[in-house]
Amino acid sequence: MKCIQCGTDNTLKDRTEHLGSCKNCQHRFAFEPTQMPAVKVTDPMFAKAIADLSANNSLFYTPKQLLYFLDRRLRSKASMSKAGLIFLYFFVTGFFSLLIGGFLSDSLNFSLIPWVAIVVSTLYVYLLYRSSRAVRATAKQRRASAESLIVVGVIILVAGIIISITIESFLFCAFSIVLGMMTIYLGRLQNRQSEFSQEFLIGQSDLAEWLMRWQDINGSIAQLLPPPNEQATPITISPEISTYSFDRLVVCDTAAIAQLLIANNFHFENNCAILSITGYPQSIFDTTMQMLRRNPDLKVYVFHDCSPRGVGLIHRLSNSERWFQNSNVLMIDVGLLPRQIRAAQGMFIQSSAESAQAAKQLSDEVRNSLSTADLQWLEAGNFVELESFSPQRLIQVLNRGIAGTQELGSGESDGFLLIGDRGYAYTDSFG
Amino acid sequence: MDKVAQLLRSAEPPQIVGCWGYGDDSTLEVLSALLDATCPPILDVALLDVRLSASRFFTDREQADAWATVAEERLILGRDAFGRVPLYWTQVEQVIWFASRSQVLLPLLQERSISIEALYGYSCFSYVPTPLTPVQGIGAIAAGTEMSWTRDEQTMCISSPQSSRSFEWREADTLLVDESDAIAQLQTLLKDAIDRETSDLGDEPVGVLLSGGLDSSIVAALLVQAGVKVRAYSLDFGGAGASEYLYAEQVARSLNIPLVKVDASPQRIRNALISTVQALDLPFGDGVTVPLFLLSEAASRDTRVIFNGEGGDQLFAGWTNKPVIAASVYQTHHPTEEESFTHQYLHTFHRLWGYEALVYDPMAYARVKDLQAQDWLQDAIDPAFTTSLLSRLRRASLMLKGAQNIHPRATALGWAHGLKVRSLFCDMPLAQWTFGLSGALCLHGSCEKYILKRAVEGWLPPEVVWRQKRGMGVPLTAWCFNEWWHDLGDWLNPNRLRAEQLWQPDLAAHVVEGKLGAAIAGRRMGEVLWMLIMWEMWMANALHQPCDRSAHRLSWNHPFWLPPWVWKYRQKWKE
Repeated sequence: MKCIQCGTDNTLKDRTEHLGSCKNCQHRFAFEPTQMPAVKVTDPMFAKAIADLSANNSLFYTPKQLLYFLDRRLRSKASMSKAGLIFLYFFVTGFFSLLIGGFLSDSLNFSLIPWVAIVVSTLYVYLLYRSSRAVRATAKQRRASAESLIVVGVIILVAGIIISITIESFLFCAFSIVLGMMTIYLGRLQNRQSEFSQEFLIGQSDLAEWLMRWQDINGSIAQLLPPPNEQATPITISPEISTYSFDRLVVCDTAAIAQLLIANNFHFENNCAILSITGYPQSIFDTTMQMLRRNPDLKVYVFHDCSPRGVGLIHRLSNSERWFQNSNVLMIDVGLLPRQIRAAQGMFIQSSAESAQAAKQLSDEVRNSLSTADLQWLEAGNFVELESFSPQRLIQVLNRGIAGTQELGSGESDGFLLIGDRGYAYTDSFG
Repeated sequence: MDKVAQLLRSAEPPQIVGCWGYGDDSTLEVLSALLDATCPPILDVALLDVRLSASRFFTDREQADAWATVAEERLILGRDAFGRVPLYWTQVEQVIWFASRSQVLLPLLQERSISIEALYGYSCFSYVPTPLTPVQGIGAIAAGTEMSWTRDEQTMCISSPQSSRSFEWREADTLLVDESDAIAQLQTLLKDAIDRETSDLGDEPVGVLLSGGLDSSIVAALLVQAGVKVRAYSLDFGGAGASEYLYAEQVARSLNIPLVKVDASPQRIRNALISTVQALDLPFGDGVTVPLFLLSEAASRDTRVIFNGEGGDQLFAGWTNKPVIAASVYQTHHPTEEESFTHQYLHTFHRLWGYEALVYDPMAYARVKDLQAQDWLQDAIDPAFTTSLLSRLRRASLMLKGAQNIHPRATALGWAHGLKVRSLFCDMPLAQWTFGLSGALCLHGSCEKYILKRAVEGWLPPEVVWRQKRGMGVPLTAWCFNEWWHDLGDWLNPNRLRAEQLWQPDLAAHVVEGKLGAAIAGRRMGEVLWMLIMWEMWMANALHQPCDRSAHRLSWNHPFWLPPWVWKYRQKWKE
């Protein structure tokens, strides 16, 4: 492992001899991967993750975004493509069939190679099936496993029939057909799931411990945001400033996302107010709302998770006295919606009974605004958090949402904020 | 020659070039050499009083934008508060040399070297802040300032320069809050201002640089009301970017004036790049410079006087004030809570402040890292002269973005085509009146320039008056990623940047790949690239460092030799 301070490569022996410090500069290592049981993290990897997530230390991020980011990095190391899985099947089956089958055939004077191949194939199919159901694997990995099951099933079916004719064994043919058909069935069953819910490889408590260790050795991480302070300690804003208003408002469904946008100067770049549905920042909430009410042409952008709470956010704003009840203010949904998740791949979908319950309790008005497929998706307990995206991606998406609706809403062809998108818009979508 | 040598050149475009102090016979020879032989020097060893105006060329005391005067053994170089005409100086032994174009003074320098401080200022603001110039040894007189030297007959030496503010923008003691009064007063002030600007015009037609925005439309409307023959000029960016032309067309139609569409395609911009850099004299890194050059060029075919709408945003709280207000509201919830007003204001420039370690060559960085960009803002944001936030922002905008960037570049681009440049909003009574306005009359809720809109709503179509506008959107990023893609490999070639030892050699690639950080994305990429291009072009022009393939062995270790679509695909794949 390389020292992040001087770049010297330290072997395990070096690290052990120097009591966990660099042999060159004595800088302590925060992590010792050989002593980490499940997930192994190295100092350079952690440092790179922090730098990448913050776009070279230019953006603030939440601890949960770091959790998602590390999780993605750690998973991607262990993932294998569909082609890789099929190649592995050929290799494993061929190798063990020839090795074990060949050895036993010599001893028994009877060719066991096809039968060993069937046994090895059965085991491989079982492992693939497990992989396609593993909630701690990436959706991409699970999809690759499911698709590989179908291909492997076809291979077993075709090869089994050919071999059974060659060795003139009805029993082998029957086994091959049953295994092949079953494998194809399982593959199709898993593949029919348009999305795969996932679990974190690392727990929040693990990350908290890592961060404590890291910051103890390397100093605090400037771009890591603390938990949002949701205490309503009133702050006086100069009346001179509160006389004015904002061009627009962004309402988030969590204080963490509102805090993230403020920290990254989104309000400055877009002349907008940023509030969360929970009232964050509580200390200036009332003043900000007063300022917003001074703008008769206010546009409200609603930025939310793909969850029952998120999809109902506009409904809550429209029916809350504290927000925009009896107001004609234009509200634009720029948050995550089930149809976007279903259309996209590689999203970190989670699932919980609480979310399923919340989806079933959505008001009729919200339910009517969703398609049947969207409702089914939510009622299955699925949800996707905005924090699963990097701060850079979230800001890009929100920028694009605002720019797009500026054009649509005003009927102008101004499109000032869109300047520069031509030919460079490939990152600006949740997809 | 033991006393004074002075010289005035009165050609078009107008220039002040002169010297003062204790020299010898060779001083006059040098002076003559600085000028064209066709322009005979005017020598007056007794008294010099030269006054230059952006709108009238050589002028009297009241209308002067820059002046050089000698009286009672003192040389005074000064500029008015709007900063429309620049003035530079350098000292060679006991002689002060001065000129209204910095490049005139370059031959006097023994060595032409870049001022790192000026480079840093340029990278922060996209203009070189006064009193710096990008060339070591040449100073600039700041707007609203007089600089003076005295001479000692005994020792035959000249003193160190003394600088003093000749004018301060300051808030009125009592603020006007009544909307009706303000509207009536403003209408009168605008009409008076246009009368002053048109009083010397006969039947000759004038040009208006019409963007389709509020300010230039007001200028056109007032000129028409004053009975002046007006011809409007507007930019056409083709398919890319914001289409302002339609609004300009609407204004022209409503005022019944002819409108000339000026092609500002990326190819024309590329072709006019060198001419613009030469016209500007100093590097100005905003994307509007070449389009404005093209507008002036087109106007010069029909007229000798052009009007622009520059300065309206500064006086009446245009949209650029809004970010600072939003930042003030959220200041206590920002992780860098201690961020001062100065820092917030610095953010509004959106250039390379804060990216020093990523953009400079290590040697340049070692000299830059201890510089404070805030120092160049202090006078402008000094709260001693203003109480309210909007007045403070107005003073800052006038002294920084207006006097150091917008107005001097507008003058330079007009003068390059022999045009007298007139700006309605550079009218002193009008400008001073705005310092007596209450903030709510300027920024009414979220409506910027409210009182100006109310005052002119009867003169222009409502959709022109009340629409939201955010400056002239030159589609730089789109052009950089398409039409100029291969040119970037030449203009900002790694080998060239490496040889200059100012910027990181791979800076252009880092910008387009988004490696400078998340804030430099989208249109900011084009703005930063353009700023770098203009600097490089200025270097090549001013310091005679050829900027073409023949001068440097251009390297290929950059992405710009790839077809843009291949590079985009590669970036997508890397993601």
